[in-house]
Amino acid sequence: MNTHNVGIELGHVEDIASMEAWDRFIDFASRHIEHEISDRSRAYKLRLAFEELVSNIIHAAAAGKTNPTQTELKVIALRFKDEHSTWLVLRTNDNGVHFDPEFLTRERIDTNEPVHDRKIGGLGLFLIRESVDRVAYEWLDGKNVYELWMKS
Amino acid sequence: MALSIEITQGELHVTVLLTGDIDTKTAPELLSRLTALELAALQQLRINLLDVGFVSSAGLRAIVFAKQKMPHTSRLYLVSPSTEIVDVITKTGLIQAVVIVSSEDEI
Repeated sequence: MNTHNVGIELGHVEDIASMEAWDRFIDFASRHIEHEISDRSRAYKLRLAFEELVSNIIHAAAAGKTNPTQTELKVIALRFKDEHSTWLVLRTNDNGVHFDPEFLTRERIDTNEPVHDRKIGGLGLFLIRESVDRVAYEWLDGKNVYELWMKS
Repeated sequence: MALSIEITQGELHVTVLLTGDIDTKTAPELLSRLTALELAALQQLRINLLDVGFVSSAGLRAIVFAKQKMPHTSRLYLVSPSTEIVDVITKTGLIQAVVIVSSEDEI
């Protein structure tokens, strides 16, 4: 992921990573998704991945792994263009604990496992990976940086 | 978006009418309301999603939880879910646990 300084910033929102700020983060992303992604199904998938990601960040902040009042989350919406496509990128930047980038290394859930035997968990990470065109994670300057990429 | 939950107890089934989004913020209330049902003895649960625009993994977990507590022989119907919601349910393999119908008349 070497794209931090390119692309057009469409806007950003910054707040404490807590459920009190949930609506701010979701409303911000939803507004940009609605504006940039015309296909309803793809817009839904990006919103889904974003909600799962923000939910993970907030839960990590509240789970005692770090002081929730000190975990700040910044969400940036960016538009990238290459010769073939235009992309909407939702980048999150938080100063919580260094995440193990599980969605890149964790075993995938077994979607064929009977529901009665299913462990509750893992669905969120699965949906992040499966819902967007590209997902990236980087530990940069003491912060977790995630990116969700979706072609417009 | 807020979630409205309306539960109707029928003779042989329970219907849960949902309106809004089922996300990280609203799913705990749905889970709480489902938990309050006598799921272990419930043979048929109908969750109406006609007016639900969005379901996240937290919402799916609430639905899975309900099905896990119901008898193995029970049926959990999802009524009128959107194409996008069906896609997520299919992708996660939860389709095996539910019956999707376009209206309650199909039950």
